Amino acid sequence: MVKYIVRSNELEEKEELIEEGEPVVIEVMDENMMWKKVKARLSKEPLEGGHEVSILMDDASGIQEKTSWYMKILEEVNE
Amino acid sequence: MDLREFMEKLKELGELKEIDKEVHWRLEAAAISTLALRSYGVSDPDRGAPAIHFRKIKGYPDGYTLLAEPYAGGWKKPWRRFAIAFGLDPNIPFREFLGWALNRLQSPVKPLIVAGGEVKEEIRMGEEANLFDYPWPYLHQGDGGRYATLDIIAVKHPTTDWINWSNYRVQMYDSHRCILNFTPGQQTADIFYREYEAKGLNMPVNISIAEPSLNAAAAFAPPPFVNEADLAGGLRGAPVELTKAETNEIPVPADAEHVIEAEVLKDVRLPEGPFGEFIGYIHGTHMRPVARVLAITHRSDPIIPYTVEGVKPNSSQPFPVAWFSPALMAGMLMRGYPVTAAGFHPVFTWSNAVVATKVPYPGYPRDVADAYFAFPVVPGHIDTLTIVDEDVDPTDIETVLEELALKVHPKRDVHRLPMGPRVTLNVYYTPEERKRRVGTKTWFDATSKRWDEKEMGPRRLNYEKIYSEEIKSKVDALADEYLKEG
Ligand SMILES: Cc1cc2nc3c(=O)[nH]c(=O)nc-3n(C[C@H](O)[C@H](O)[C@H](O)COP(=O)(O)O)c2cc1C
Ligand SMILES: [Mn+2]
Repeated sequence: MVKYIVRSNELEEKEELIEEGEPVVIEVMDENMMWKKVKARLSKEPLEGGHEVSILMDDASGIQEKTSWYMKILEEVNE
Repeated sequence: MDLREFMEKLKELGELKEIDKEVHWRLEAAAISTLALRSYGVSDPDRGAPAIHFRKIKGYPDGYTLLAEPYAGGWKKPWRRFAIAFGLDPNIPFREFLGWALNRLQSPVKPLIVAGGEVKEEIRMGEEANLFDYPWPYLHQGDGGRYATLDIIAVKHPTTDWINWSNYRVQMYDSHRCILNFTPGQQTADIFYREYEAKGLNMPVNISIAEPSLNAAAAFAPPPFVNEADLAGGLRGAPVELTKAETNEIPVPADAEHVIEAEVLKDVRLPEGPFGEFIGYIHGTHMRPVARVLAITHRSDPIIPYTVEGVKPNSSQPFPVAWFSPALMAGMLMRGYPVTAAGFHPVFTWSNAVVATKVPYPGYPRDVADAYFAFPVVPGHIDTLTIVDEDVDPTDIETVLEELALKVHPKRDVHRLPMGPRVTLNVYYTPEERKRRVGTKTWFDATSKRWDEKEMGPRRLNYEKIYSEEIKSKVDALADEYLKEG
């Protein structure tokens, strides 16, 4: 089990910003399986101080445990 | 009666297993109980696997425990655990259970308001009320979060005294918010959408974890303005004891294990799911209303029951058989249809309906089918109905299949009613059909027709019918001597 899970559709929606290396606001599920909104940098390369992420598939086909995504959380976003 | 008394009864019958080894709330508990149910489903389809009390949950204080699948019992006799809960013979035949339930549900008993109660052993208000202080299980790989599955959602109609109870799954979203799976068309959901949100109001809600009579009443679907608490009292034969909530006007069960007091926020939606759905497949997210937690009260050692939804056998499959059947039966009788048993066959209870009836005039089965599918009580995703003769037990799948095989004309007795389904979870609908909400209902007329078994035409061949009383009495004596079982 990796530390964070993100939704596949959110990754898709934010793909452009992510590719440009910009931080995005995204919902992540942590090890407690609860959601929080964070500002984070995502990348296909390992990030210093970052973690591997799994992907919750929006088509309900399950959780992809192994992905090539990494994420570094910059701050939690309060609602 | 509280949940613990029910667990005691199960224990006496050897139908509760206690596990003290530490298990994880994330998938592990769910996988253990699912495997147990699957193997007992084969070896003992009438009794099924024991319910499992997991007494040490990883990361949670001692005493914060999970109760797996309290209502599952055997898949062939899905009303069994409720029979045990209500002190009936565990092996009671379906028709007798149905008769008992109908009778009790027609004798409601008003609740009693009491001071305090076990549910107030711990009271946490505001910030202190954190959903993740409790071991809600993560049930299926691929779910969008942790869920309460066997609960009682209580809301108040804003301008009358109606307090509606229902069982909807609840997704624990973060420490202070949960998502309620309010399916439009259901009473609780519609009270929120039409009576609160449409008028610019938040809706108070209490989410309780309690005992079998409350779970039964919450799943039962009475007409609007009926308080399910009165029905739970009828089932128990004694008033349900309710006590004041901390933050709203809706009383809560005094002997509940756990209560979340919250308010459903107007104009807020969050993605609910994915979730392993009750009709056997995992489905993606829907945007659903969100409740903000205001208080949590619970026993000092709360027990949280759960069911692994969608996987058969489980503790969800018994609900249509045990609690939708009497609702349907009552409704059909009230409308003058001479139905002898309404039910669902146990192979997959959420996805079929079977009704046994007298056939008082030619063409009558069509009237039954029309009435049945128009009923608000029949879940919208149920697309097939089998109508059988009055003496057939709807839960006896072998006989239902035999009737289908022997009595259904492949053309004249298979009927279609084009109509929109109220929910569109069935996997066989295309995305287009789901979007347009069009679907079809099919019904099979498996009643005897055009010929009368008793007087003319074909006579069904079985031992009772084809031998004279004289032969039978001779044979019975011989059989006693030579053909005893074992
Ligand atoms: C275990 C279980 C889970 C259920 N989950 C839901 C749900 O999430 N949403 C829903 O609309 N109905 C759900 N139901 C069905 C409702 O409880 C049932 O239709 C009930 O009669 C609705 O009550 P209401 O019309 O008073 O709201 C569930 C039933 C059971 C037994
Ligand atoms: Mn209701």
